[in-house]
Amino acid sequence: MKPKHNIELQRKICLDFGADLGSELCKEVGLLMKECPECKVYYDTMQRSIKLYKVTENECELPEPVSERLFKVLNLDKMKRDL
Amino acid sequence: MTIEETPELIQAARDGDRVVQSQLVTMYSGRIYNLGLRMLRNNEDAEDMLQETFIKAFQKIESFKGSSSFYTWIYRIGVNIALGKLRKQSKMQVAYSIQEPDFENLHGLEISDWPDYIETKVSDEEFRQALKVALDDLDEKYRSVFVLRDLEELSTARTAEILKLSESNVKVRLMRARLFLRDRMSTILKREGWLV
Repeated sequence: MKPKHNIELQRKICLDFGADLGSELCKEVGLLMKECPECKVYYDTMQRSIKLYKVTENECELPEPVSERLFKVLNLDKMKRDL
Repeated sequence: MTIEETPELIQAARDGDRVVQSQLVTMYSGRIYNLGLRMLRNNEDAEDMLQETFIKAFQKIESFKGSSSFYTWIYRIGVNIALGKLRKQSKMQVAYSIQEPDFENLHGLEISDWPDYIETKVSDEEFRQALKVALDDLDEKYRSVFVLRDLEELSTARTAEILKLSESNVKVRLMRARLFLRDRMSTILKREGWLV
């Protein structure tokens, strides 16, 4: 367990709940993180799994053949990306 | 110079200006395709969704009032087309559907902390594939929320509006999706010996 991340973690949890950073809910979250290491692991692993998905599901370039077919279906002339 | 979405540009598209319509396709087709990939999980369906989205958008462009950006409007069309496809697929697959995961019991699983080097595993193709399969396995109603909230980074309110759900329902589904994926990831990490 790494308490150094507690403040950042507390901030993230507050934002997740849509709560203001100075709110009672946020203060309680801060206390919970101090007193409940399992809660911190629970939240930390959840955040890291989302982060991993953001990396693996990152945006890819539209494949050229897909783009060509799209313009054909729409009966449009393809423009250059930078005009 | 990169094209910008202006009221004049949208009006020209509405008036049937083919050059401007082509510019809009160039501007947004990549993002709509990626949305399709994330929601539908395969290239063919994403391409179908992409084509249907632009066909529908240009057919209905008269109804676009400009209260939001054109991208927001077309994005919503895209999500609705993807959801329609997912619903059709789930009806077709009903005979083979696996039981919905027991989300309540996911809370009870023992939680182990993950070592710092886990993030480096994303370069491992096998690990990436395992993550993809986990997301594929997540029921559509949870996956859509996860994709819109966590991957597309829409707000809870906007996700609720697009999916026609209450905000609290979005939160519940998102939490279940995250729990499911986190637990599947823990299982993968344990199986590969990366987690004690």
